[in-house]
Amino acid sequence: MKRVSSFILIAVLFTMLAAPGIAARAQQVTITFLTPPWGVPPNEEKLAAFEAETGIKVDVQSVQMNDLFSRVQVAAAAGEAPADVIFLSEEAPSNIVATGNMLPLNDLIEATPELNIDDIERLEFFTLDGNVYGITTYLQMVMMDYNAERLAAAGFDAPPTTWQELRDMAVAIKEKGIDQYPIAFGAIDWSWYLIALSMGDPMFDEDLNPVFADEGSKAREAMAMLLGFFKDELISPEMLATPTTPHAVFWSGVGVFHQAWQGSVAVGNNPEVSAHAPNVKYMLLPEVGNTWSFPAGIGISANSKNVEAAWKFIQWYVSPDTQEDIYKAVGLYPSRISVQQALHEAGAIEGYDVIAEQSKRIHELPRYALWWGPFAQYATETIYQAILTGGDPDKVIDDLAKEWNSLKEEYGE
Amino acid sequence: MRRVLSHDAVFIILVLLPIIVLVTLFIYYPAASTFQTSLTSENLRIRRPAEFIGLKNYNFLLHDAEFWEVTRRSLVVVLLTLPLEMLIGFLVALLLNERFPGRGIVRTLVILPWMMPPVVNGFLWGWLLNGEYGALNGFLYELGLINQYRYWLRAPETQIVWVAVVQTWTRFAFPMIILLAGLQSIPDELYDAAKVDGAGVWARLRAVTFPLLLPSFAVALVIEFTTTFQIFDVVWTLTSSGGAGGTINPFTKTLMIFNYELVFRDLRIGRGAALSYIILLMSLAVGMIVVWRIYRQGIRE
Repeated sequence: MKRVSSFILIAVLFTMLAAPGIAARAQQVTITFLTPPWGVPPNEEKLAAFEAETGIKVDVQSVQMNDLFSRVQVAAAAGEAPADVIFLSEEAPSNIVATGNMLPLNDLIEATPELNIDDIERLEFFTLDGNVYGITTYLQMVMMDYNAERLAAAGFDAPPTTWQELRDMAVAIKEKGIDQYPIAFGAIDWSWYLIALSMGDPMFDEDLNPVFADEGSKAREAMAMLLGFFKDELISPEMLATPTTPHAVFWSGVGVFHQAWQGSVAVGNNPEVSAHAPNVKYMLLPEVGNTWSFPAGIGISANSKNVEAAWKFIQWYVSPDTQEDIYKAVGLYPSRISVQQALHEAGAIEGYDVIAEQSKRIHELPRYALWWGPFAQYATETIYQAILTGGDPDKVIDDLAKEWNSLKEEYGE
Repeated sequence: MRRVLSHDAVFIILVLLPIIVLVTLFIYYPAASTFQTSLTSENLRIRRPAEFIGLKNYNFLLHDAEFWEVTRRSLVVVLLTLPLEMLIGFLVALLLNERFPGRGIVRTLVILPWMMPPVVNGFLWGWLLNGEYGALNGFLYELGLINQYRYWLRAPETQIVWVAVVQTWTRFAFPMIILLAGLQSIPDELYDAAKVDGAGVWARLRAVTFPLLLPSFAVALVIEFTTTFQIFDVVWTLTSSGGAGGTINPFTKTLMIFNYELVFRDLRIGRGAALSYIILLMSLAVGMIVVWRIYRQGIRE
């Protein structure tokens, strides 16, 4: 009897001590956040504080973008949620949003006035048919930056204002032995879009016809310019031989002109990351100087079973505090106007004036088209092939137009 | 009442039932479902229900220039890899069939590349072949064989050759193991008899080793053909072109890469499923020919 009483006493004591923990775990919700590496919340302490305050445990799953799309698509085929919260890159409208994998957030936004949605720019990028599928977390537009010291060493006191001028400067830099590969561009579709838009080509008309293939178009000139850069070895052969990026090549110290983005100078002038520090500056894109944007957002999976918890996490993720942390960690320009202004006033945004000027010259690419994803991949493969085989730029353009029209016919509703 | 099944029969059925259920669930059911999908227009980008289209996906692929191009390329990889792999595997098996000090350690070292995931091998060789800091460049430069570093993976012609080299390095240990087992099953008396008849090394190889090794050779050949014909990991990690996450390299796009592209990039599930079955049939066809000709001949020997 004594033994039984002791046992009961111990059991009661244990239950009293363990109960709060058990209750807490019972209340704790776990959500998954699927993101590429640069979307991982940089401040672990603040994330832990969010988890402690809300009782929401966030399981961050960091994968490369192509793997992220694969996971979403495979889960969609099974009617499952790949994660509760999904990071939306610039390719997401075509690959994830248009394919019905994300939950419309309109009702949640309306019910959350403290989100201050008017403070967030470029919401329309993740809006389809009036439904908002993602809250913009950071803004990006393609820009260029350059090593001002090397340019000056070659005898040039200002960045180029035309593409021919840029090419001539690159040749001079190479011939003077200042930099063997002065242009840090990739053998990818983006390099062509950058030059073509900057030259003033609209690329597509309002009916999504590929006007880039019109005879004598600037896009044709841009393709010839890009292939010429590779042919004359103004771009490092490493871009063709390894799965690297122009950013990695530039920050390793190779190149003077770099295909960059809004916020890249902060990274380029970080001596822990870049061999060019502290000489990197933005330049306005040459000629007409148009560019395109690629903001990122964050949304909720259409099959998520933790919508409320996911929405709380999203509110935290796009809060001014977190956006400032992300900017300081990886140089990604905040989507909140208030945060942009605060950082500018604090002098934390290098090259703000150039960014502001470049942002007036946005000409969007039709990323919302269902077939944009396959077209972009095809464009990269075709350009890569043309570079390695010495392909004719006009034939490349014709092939791209043919592929676009074929995809448009296949996917058009 | 007459007993229909004996105790032994019931026991056998009960023991086999779990594996039958597992194989049905995880192999035959997905295979049947994939075949069904291959007869539809399923495309995850299009928000319309998939329609039954019969053999249209198969017809499209068999008339698609890209399909034949990637098939040709896959066969090129096989033709470059298989002879090298089987030859190296055979030579190493011959060596390991002899007794010498440290044979166990050598045997372990030889199978290390095979034990590593192909993805790891692909990345490893990517670093070795890097044009800026690769060990191969450093090694050849120090030996005076090159006077400047080279981008080994730049030229389209050499990319596929390096794929074959890395695949050979990754896989040669497997045929080596099978051929070694085959060598060790050949009775010593046959070699003794051949020696007595005055047969030299090459004659013993030709008259005793090769004929009796044919069944093992056939098994190794079929497995390695299927593995190499369906190569993916090495191609992807070694030669996918720039950009975070990798872009498909058109110069090394093989059948499985093409399949990945159809299913995961283009989301053309129906067409991708059809391609899977075409790949299966092509692999089976070769396997059956090899078994029919080489294996049977080996058994007769």
